[in-house]
Amino acid sequence: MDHGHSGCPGSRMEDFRGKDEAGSDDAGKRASQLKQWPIQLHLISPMAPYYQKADVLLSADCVAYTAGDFHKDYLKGKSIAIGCPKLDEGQEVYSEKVTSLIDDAKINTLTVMTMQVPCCAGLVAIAQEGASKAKRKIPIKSIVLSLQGEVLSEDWVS
Amino acid sequence: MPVSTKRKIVQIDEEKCNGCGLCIPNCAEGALKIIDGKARLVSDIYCDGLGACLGHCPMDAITIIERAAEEFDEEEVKKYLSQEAGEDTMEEYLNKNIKDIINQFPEVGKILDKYGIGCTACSLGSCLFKDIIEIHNLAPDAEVELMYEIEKAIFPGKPVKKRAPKEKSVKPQGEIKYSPPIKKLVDEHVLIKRLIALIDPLCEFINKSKEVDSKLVLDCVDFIRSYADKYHHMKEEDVLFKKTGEGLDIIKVMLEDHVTGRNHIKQVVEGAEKKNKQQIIEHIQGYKELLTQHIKKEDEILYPWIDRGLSTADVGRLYEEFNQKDATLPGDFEKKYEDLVAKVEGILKKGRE
Repeated sequence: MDHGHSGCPGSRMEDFRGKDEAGSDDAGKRASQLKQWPIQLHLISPMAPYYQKADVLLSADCVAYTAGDFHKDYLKGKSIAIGCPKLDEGQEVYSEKVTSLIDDAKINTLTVMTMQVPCCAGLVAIAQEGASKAKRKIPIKSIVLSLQGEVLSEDWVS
Repeated sequence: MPVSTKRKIVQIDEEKCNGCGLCIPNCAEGALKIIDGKARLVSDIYCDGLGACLGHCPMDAITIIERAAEEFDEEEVKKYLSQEAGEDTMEEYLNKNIKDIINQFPEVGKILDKYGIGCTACSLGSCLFKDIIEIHNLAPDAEVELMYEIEKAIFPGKPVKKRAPKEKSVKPQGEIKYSPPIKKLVDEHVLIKRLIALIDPLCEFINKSKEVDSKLVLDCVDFIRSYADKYHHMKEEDVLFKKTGEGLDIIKVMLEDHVTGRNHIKQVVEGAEKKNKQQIIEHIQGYKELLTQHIKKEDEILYPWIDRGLSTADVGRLYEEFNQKDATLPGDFEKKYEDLVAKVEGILKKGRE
């Protein structure tokens, strides 16, 4: 393996064009499962009605593009917030918003979806930090996807 | 790598399909099955793309499309159909209750025992065979072996093939992973097990002492009644078992255990009041045996099975309800009983020295 050009796994180039397309199906249409706007973590307000007592999905930006059935398998039935733990500015606001979602919106559960690249785990850390400052305790699940959208792990982290 | 070419094949519109099953008998290859309430194509290789199923769909959910798919394979269809026919005969037994099967074929009880499934010892035993397979969630290899051995025992002389297990949503893993609310119950078992471990030394202590130390016995009873029964069992009886349905046999067995446990403890209290060593020892030992088995059944079989059926939203609601139940007790409740166990541990350790 050529380590000279590998660098950060989060930005290392990979080419999946040869991937078998047998699993894809062009027929039929699916409706969007998104039931809210905005979705970016800086823009959302935990006081918005669709967060109250909801099952919330906190997703890293890249996740939606890697999971082929993101809407059907993960977004359906949930309210969402998205962010990038590697590139976004002002991330202390992110954990405060998680705290507010738990205490003010009294959300039912939080599911954190991230990519397998190491820096993406920062989003789980943000969720856990926010949860540790909250008065309420809720179950938090971490789902990690591979670069090609397979579930690598699915664990309750608190 | 199987060859994939563009050819005619059926497509089922999930939105339109109402799962009526009218298409199924019309597919000579048995390529369609109702799975999770929708008609689905079992495998591309069983579909010849003829469309005999089309005309029987009242919802117009089936169409013939052209797409890249593995070639239709007549040989595989033959193999598949003979396998399915075999499954039908076992299907009848899968829907019977296990005690009846064991009574008819005692060998089946021994086979279940071998795989750590204790149906022969169960007081009810009216679980359906298929539920037992689902609840125990054996590793795929072990499940294949178990079903093979049982089928041989039920149909002696019939050629029996090993069959792949039914697709499971969650594959068994080495270590059991619990969701947070279920983990809470498992954690409570840890303190209960610490007290259970003190029962043998306690009996020894009672036997050695001239007069029964009623206070010590009643401290243990307080833990059992308050922590194990009120704090822990109330979450099961008032919340968890209400969700799974109390009519299920596996739940009935658990509830029966709770009642038997309470009766033992009543006898222990009576024994302590009368300073009757034998009565105390007999019933606290009875409680120990009962709870040891009870906790093992819950940790290893019942809880993982319940957990597998919970959605993320269910997990959140269960967690919240457990927290609300716990909030009805004083804030220092858990600490108080942890201290109590530590105190009894100290007394009995001293008594042994």
